[in-house]
Amino acid sequence: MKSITRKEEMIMLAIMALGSDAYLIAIQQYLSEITQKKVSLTSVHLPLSRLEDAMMILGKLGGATAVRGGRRKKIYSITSQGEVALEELKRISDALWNGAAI
Amino acid sequence: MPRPPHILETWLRRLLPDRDKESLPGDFAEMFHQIATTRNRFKALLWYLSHIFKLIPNHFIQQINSQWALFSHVVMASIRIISRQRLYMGITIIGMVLGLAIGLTTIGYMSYEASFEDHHEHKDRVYRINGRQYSPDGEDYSSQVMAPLGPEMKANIPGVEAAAIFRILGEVDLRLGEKGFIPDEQRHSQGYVHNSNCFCANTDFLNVFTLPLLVGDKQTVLEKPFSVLITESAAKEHFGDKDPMGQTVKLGPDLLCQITGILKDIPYNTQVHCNFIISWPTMSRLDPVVPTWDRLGNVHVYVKLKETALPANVAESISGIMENHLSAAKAAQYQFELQPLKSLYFDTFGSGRRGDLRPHGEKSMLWTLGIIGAAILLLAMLNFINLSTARATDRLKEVGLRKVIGASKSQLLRQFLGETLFIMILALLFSIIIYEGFKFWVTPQLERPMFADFYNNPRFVTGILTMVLSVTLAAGFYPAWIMAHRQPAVILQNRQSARSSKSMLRKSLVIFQFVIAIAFVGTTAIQYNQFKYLTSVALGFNSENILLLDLGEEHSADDVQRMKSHLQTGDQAVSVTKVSTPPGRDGIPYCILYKNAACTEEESIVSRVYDTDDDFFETFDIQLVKGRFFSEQRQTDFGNAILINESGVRALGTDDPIGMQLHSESGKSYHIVGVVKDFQGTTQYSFSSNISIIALRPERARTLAIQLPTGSTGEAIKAIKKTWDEQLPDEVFEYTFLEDEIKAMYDGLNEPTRIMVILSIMTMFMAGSGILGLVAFTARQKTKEIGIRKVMGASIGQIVYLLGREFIPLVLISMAIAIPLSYLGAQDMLNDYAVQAPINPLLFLTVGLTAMLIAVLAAAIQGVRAARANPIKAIQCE
Repeated sequence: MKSITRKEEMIMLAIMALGSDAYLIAIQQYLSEITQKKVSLTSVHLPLSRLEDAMMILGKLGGATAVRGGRRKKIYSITSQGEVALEELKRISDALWNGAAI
Repeated sequence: MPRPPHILETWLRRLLPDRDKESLPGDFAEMFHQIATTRNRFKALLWYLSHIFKLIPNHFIQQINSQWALFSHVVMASIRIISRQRLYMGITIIGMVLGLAIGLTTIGYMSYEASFEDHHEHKDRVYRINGRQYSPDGEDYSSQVMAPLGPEMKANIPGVEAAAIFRILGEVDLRLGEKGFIPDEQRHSQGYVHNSNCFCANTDFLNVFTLPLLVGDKQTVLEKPFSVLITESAAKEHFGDKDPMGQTVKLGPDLLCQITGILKDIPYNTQVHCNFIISWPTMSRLDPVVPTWDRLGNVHVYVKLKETALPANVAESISGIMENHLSAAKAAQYQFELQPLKSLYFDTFGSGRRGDLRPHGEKSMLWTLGIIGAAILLLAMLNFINLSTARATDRLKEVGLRKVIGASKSQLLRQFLGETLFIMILALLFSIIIYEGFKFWVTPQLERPMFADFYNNPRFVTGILTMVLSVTLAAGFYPAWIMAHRQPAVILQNRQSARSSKSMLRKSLVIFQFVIAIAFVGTTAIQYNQFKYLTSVALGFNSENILLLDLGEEHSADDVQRMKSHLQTGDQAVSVTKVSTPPGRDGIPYCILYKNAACTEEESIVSRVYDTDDDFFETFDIQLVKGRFFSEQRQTDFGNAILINESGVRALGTDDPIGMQLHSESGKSYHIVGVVKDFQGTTQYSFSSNISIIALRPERARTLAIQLPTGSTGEAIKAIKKTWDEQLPDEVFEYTFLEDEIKAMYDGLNEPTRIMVILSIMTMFMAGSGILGLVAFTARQKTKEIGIRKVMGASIGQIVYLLGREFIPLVLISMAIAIPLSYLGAQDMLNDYAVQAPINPLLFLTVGLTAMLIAVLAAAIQGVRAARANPIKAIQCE
């Protein structure tokens, strides 16, 4: 399995949190709120494409709004493969944290 | 609701990979909306643009990734084919290189011409003021107007942002210490037509025209009297490494000026090219004429309008200014127009205007060169088509195999077009080297640069790219299409169908090439013949040892007469005459005279006119045939008596012209007192007749022609210089020899001939290589036939004949078309000459035979190759 970077992990978690509204701009805004830092669109888009190529997430075209000039959103959701990868990451990081806490 | 501009969105979509084409533009639009509403639209636009730019490299990486295989394949295939078919590809590429080099030169010349005045930042808002005055004395149409008009326009017309006034100081003698600023050789060089080195201009000159200063502030450098600006290269030439700022320059005999600023070198492609600019307040000391509103002056006024101003309104407002200074009746005599800066260079009407700036471009020259360039490029393209369709048979197997394993037509098309592009780029590189070499070689021989550079002429670069791409498509598409549409089954079965329609096409292309080539060579031969004839024909007047002094319009007739009588006294001159323009110099004025007083057109003759005195005949050794010379002793001869040459007598249609009256349109009449032998006053231009009229009007003559004693020329010149320095102490002694001028004039004629010779050799080469391609094609088709004939004992000569015979009719057809064509063209061309060489039919025969020889040679080169091949290999089956 391909390794997942910290950024990719954050994005996947954001997708999970946002649920049915997980598209590029929503993810970017969610991340900048959480991190309290400016997050650029490209720095989100690139990992998203990589994750999509790795089949960790799945993009589906969703609804359009007037603000978007009638163009549809690409809504992302986590695939089962992605879930497995996330759980694995959580296990590793929990174990490491537990070790560090004792 | 703020939306990103449509065009940007289209661009964005183009740059995005397929999977993001739908969603990302939407995301971008949302982001744009967000930034636009929380901050402002401009910030949003910036954001949008910056993200588009970020996508560009990404896009190209993707493109190359997906097309790389095809790209590298095309390059590899092209290299293999070039190395496998060296002769073919060599001819193809050389033909293309020649064609492109000519095309490049043409585009280079045209883009340079079109680039005139381009570097001025506000060129679209700059206009020149032309004035027209209708007074009882006649009409004055001028590109120069009165000096105060400039400042008044700036002060009174709200639409005028800046008004430059300037004069060109042709006669000013700038000196650094005792050394002349303008070297003596340069003064002597005839045909130095570019604007004189030195301008006198006001401060706004630097605001209207974009002439950057390296040192100095443009608002103050030209403010004070006796200030002078110098260009960087002129400073380097005259001061070397010394700092030129603050140095003193002598202007004329006694005015001292100080250098207050250094200009960046002014490019040649502007009419305001100069090396020195003297401040306008200095003018009052140079030429102390009180500025008057009473007539159109002699100052150039250029204005820069505000962006909102309309030139027509500004022109109207000038009348208001005139009314402030003149009575209503006087003011009504004037009319002004604003001429856009960009239109000045190609304004052919300029010659009808007083004081127009030079240089001028000639649209007709541009057209002629453009057509010649296009014709040669067309030949190169046809050559390419011819050679590559002939070559196509060699690659049938390749095409068949590619198709069998699944290549689509469009893929094959792309592959063959790609190969063409590869060859074109290769040819372009060579032709750029040729162009640069040509430019390097020719520029020092020209009066000013005439060819564009790559680095500063966007028109040139776009022109080249357009040319290369269109030639690629035009020349590559047909062969590529033919190849891509072959039926694979037919090809692989080895049934090579030689469809006659295609060979018809190839044949007609060859005919076309030969028609152009023969017509070109024929015309060149006639031109060359004419040139030879001109140099061989006797001038009919004495040009040896004649020294010319040009005194110019600013001298009165009395000055010239005084000079003449001083020159006559010593033994420095055998004879001296005053003349308006000496025979043998270019640009002799002509006039129209009428046989009847009513001045009807049928009764008119067009003639060159020499206004002179009675020493003309002795100095130039002109022979009298009938009647008498005019004489200054007879008062009635002045402005009345004329002599006419024999051609003129023929044109008048009379045996005894003595005593005849000729009338001019202005109502004057002249009286023929004698007939002189024909002489060749000039070589060509505007009218074909060789009619000359010599009139006793010494007051119009400003040139002194001095016949020097043979053997002591040097001493005589020294003596003449002494006389000059006594009589005209303020002026530099300048002279020319008539023989040099005549030689320069012939050299000027020779130049186009030389270019034509080069071009015709090229057209012949291309026509020849067209034949070469065709022979190769037939040889390929008749491989088996040739093999069998050889086995049966045919000689190489017989086989070459077999292959070459079908081209002889082609060349004959081309000759039949081209010779009448070039005959007509030549006659048209010869009409420009005063003396015409007879056209020798043998000339055409020679040209035709040369073409035939080239065709035979081309056929033989390829034929011998085919004939020497091993016959066993040819007749072997499978």
